[in-house]
Amino acid sequence: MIRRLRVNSTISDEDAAALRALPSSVKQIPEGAAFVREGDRPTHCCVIMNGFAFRAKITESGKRQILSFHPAGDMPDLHGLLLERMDHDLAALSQARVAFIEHRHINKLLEARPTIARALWRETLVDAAIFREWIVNLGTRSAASRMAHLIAELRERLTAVGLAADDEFEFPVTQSELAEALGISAVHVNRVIQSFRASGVLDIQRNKVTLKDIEQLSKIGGFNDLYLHQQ
Amino acid sequence: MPIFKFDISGSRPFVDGNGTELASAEVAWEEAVRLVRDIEGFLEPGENWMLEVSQGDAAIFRITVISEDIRRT
Repeated sequence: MIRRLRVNSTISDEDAAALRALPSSVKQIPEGAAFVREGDRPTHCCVIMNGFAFRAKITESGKRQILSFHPAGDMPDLHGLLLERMDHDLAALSQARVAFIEHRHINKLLEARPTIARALWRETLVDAAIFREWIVNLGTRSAASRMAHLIAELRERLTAVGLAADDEFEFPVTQSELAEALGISAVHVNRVIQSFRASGVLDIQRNKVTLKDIEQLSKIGGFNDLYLHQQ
Repeated sequence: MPIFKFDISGSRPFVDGNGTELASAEVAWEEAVRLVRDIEGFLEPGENWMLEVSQGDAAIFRITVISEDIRRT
């Protein structure tokens, strides 16, 4: 989490120690299980310790839209600190270890340490910037470009926290989950992956993304990392 | 759950090797409609293609898209 915060903000060793000292309870969340639900009144913030989490919303017709993916280090429900009720679900993509920190402990820390308050504020701003980028992605790009953009973004975010090698990273996602994130049919996800594999851009096998031509991937996805605001 | 295959023939053919597990034929139809929306973005004037949805060995739905470039005719 500290490594994650340092991607976007400057955190002193003292602040890092204060963050480390936060009392938390760690839970193992099974694959696919929601650990915070729409309508909940959260009393804790969570930090993904390992594995992946995702945010999702289910529509009135029962369709699910995946809103974002969260690797280790992310704190995907920081806004729960100030907004009373959850407006979406938070679930584990693969089996994940998640640390839960009581709001009162975080609030105390924020009052004592303005640098941390600024860093967490920045986190929620970058979070919103990523959502803006996803709107552009889903609203304007072809299916292949959407997927390329998502993969390029994940690579950038994972590299920043040391979770991606040059040409591969873990991403335990199914084709139907990719379809739910990209707003395309699962069959078409399969077609797009096949065409990426055939043209030597990338491959997604169960749980792992292999990148073969990163430059081409960024070009197809129209990816520009400005919105990630990494320092 | 039954397995449905979504094969595309025509200008940009696609053979659905493994198929997709779906709850029912109704869900397969919804998937077919979404797939048509995804691939119509590539349609060029004068191209035709057909999506055939099959369950087991039997085709159950077919969607055909025909486009014409009137300027050439």
